[in-house]
Amino acid sequence: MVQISEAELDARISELPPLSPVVTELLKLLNQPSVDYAALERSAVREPTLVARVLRLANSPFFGVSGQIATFREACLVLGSRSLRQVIMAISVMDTLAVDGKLLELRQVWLHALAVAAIARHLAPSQHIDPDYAFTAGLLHDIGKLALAAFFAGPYAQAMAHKRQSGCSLVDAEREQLGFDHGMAGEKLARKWHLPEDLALAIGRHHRPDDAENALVDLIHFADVLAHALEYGMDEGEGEVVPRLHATVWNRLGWDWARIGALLPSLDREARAAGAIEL
Amino acid sequence: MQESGQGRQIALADVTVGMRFATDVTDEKGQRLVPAGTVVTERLLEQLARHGICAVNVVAPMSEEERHAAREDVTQRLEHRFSLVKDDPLMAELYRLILNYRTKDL
Repeated sequence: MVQISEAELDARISELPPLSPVVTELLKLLNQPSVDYAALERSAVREPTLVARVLRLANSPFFGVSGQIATFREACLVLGSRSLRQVIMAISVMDTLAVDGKLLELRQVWLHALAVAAIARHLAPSQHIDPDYAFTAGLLHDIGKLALAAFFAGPYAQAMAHKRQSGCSLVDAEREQLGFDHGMAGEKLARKWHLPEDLALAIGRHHRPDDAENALVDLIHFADVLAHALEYGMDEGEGEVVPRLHATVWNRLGWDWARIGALLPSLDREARAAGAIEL
Repeated sequence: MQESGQGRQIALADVTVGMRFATDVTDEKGQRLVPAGTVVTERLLEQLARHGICAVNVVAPMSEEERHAAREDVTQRLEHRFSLVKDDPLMAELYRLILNYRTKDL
């Protein structure tokens, strides 16, 4: 039974705060062809928690310089302005969505997002996509789940229960109980926060990628299927089912299974390593 | 995947090159020195001795029955995960790939 209208979803999204002015300014500064690091640092210090989290991420073993980075400026130099831009975007989006941890296994959602991010990053170059950009898209692809759980806790709990009882996919359960799925909610959020168009599409269309005809959407769709198949971020008991890989996407990607099979050990290893990242 | 439980604890002096750690090796402060799954090398043994490590958990080899049970377990889990999509030829390919990957060492 459909319980919520799209207008209600829009209303809840419009009530959300915009990304903080500091974040907006940092993203703008990092987008310049030549980055003014002094200005960047002056802005960043106004949001110390953000700086702390950027440092924590920059020092995670995933980026290979564990424990060496002590200042925001070093993080900029080591990560590079493009990576840093992605990291700040991911952290601030996650921060703005506060979710009831009881409803969604947040750690599981997070492990899944990190696995998708790592897999997408690894496969990005063969699709001529910037690996850092693919990583961010993977991190953020399920923000719609967080939003739905935060806005509509009751109906969302019913959607989850429906999924468990009927054994259907989460997306189908969402559509049945809420009238829309987490992709749509996520895309609306991405647009509200003026995230880049590709990113909004990857978030919005990763479960219905066919007519988006967008390389990043295709990559995230595939990485999502693979992360599910490798069982990243799914409760042992509850058993979320693997979503179907769309044939149109598979054809557009132009890979073959032998190649993916050969890559599985490294994709699996990187997905596991990414799980250690704490934002 | 192919080890059973937490492995078995043995004295560092009895560890030989080529064994694998079943759990993280940590110092007295709980700081991780070596992650679980790492294969023991001569150099690692020297370093651990220098850190004052006396005993570690190494992987206990699996019995044939345990291997069989582990294979069954993986197969059942994947069957369930792929239950809605296995009629799709692409997903059947992916299922075979993952099953093979997950059971190749068992």
